[in-house]
Amino acid sequence: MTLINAKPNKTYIIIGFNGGPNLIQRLYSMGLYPGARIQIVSVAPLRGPLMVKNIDNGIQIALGRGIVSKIIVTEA
Amino acid sequence: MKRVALIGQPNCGKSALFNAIAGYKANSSHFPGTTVEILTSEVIYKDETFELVDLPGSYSLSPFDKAEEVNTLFILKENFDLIINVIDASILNRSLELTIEILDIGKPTIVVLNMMDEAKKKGIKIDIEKLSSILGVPVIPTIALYGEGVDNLLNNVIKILKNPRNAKPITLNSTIEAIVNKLSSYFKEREEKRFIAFKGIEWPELKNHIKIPREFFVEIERINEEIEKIYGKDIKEFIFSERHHLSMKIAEEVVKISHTIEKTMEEKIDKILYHPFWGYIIFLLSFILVLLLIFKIGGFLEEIFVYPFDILSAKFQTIKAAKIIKPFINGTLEGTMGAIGVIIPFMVPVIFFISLFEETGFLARSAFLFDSFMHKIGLHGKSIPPLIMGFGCNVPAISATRIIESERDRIITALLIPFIPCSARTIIISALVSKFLGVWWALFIYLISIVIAIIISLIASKLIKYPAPGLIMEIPGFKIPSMKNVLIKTWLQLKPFLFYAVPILILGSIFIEYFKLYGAESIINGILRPITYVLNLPSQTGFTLIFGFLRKELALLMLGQSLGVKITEITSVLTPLQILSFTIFTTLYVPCLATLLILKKEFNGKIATISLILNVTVALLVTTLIIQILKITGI
Repeated sequence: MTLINAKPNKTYIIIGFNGGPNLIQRLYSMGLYPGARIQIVSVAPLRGPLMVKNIDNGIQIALGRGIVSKIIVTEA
Repeated sequence: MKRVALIGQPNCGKSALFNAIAGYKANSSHFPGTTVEILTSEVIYKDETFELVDLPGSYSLSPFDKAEEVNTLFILKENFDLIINVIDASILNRSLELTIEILDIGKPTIVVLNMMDEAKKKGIKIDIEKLSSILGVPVIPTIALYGEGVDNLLNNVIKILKNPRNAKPITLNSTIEAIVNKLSSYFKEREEKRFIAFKGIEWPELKNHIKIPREFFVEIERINEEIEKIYGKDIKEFIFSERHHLSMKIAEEVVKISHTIEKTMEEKIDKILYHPFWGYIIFLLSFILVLLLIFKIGGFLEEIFVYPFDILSAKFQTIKAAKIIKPFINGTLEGTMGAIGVIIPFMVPVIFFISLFEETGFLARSAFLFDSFMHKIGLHGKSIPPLIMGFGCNVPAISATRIIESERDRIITALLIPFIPCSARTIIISALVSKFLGVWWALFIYLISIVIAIIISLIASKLIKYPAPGLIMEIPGFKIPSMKNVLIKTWLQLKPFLFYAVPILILGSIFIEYFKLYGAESIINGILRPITYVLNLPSQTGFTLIFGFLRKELALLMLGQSLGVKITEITSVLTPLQILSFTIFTTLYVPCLATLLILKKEFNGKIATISLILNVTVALLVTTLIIQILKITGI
């Protein structure tokens, strides 16, 4: 499944990405990489961005929906 | 002079370290990518002198936006003797990816493990000696915010500058090593050939900045095909995922986690701040509250500050002086009174609150909260922090647009910023409208500027269609602000005002007195009469508009002077409607000189010209419209 279908406040593990190498590199270097345990901690209204938190190190990243739908995850 | 470059990821406390070393000459910030201007400082330590360069925060040396390009281009084009790589010790694995890139450059390097207190709070213990032996460079622990470890760092810097030892790159897997060895042979003449070869693969735009032989790219294409066949990955991904694995491995070897992260008080506050409902309520309420506070505090301070000048000015009225000297005395007095009595009381609270917004991380949060709204008007969330910074001063706000990846969004945002009432315009709004017409009229002017920005953005996004790219932005955790940092930041922004703007204000006041004496004023007033006429203003105000172009607050000082009254008694010569008209027009009419110059520097002369024409047109239209409506409805 992709992160867009994930439920808030539940832990997921990233298993891969559907995007181009530039996007993937950015996500890696910001702290979202395969194997990372993440949670959606907030969803902005009106189809706004999602706040994704790497629960291993506490990094929080705001991601637009287009990008969120490119992150493949599995339930932890 | 020897040169030392500070490089680190956003929010690693790099600016705090720069401040601790350079004696608070840089602007330390909480919002990713605020340090867009390169700050430098001469550092003297134990009889040794070197130049410290604070480069913008960057996740990687394969740039993603304009701010990050600065780092890579600095490394390739500038001379420097030592790199200090600042790392947030609490997120070692992520930070080491940048460190591995930096070691590829092969220059003398020191790694600073900053925010050791944060790491300790999270139960993270790092074996510093082991890390140092793996990386092959000195590793120094610090808590820059409190100056801890800075002496130790400086001792090491001096030692290495005297006895430089180049860092050795950390080797990746044998396939990548073979590739990079082959590709770096194209740059034999350069010391940092390994780094250039990697960047040539990872960042193709490199060819716009340094000379790269065509065969280099042919070779990459060939290798890429091979890698894709064997590993099913793009060569770029093959390299950065390897770098990632390596840094995870190093972190695992040196980090021990003793207890799991507990939910702190700050995390709980954070949860409310980006709540899909309460987040907005808190944001809007604090925004309005801050504006009201600024009006109140400013008004209160103004009365205290103006009083001694009133007495002085009464004393001077009785002095008999030659006709040629009198304007000089009057002008100096008026200018000083305006600067210290009127402007500083309003300016200090504005800068203070904007700094507070930045320190808490509220500014970064606004990007998340307002992203979907910004998409509706054709931009995205990253435009919000520069726009809010614009309420402090438009100039750094325009520089801050560099964090926006798409050039189109960057230009539109930069054109919107001059419509945001900066602190100078807040002074005019506070001292005239809030004081004589009431705070609600003052808030109304803010509302007008925001609505104008929205409309222009809507029109611009219709004209230049382009799917807005998705938001990717790190939001640093909410922090209870350090008062010390907020006050330092306020002082840093006030300082140039005191030394640069106050003399201009006084000179301007002296000028206007002489202009009046020789009648030059009335000529300019005559030329500008069509404008002042449609704005329903007395012709004497025409002259003040010219000065407002230099510095917006100058228009306020000049207003009293041209009409021959003190600002605090302006109602004796202007009707409430005229006060409103003057304020709305000066708020919108032209970007000040400094703003136009930064637009030209960041973009080009064309963008600066567009901005100028846009502002004048909109200001004339909107002010006349509002005045006519108010006249007809008789409010």
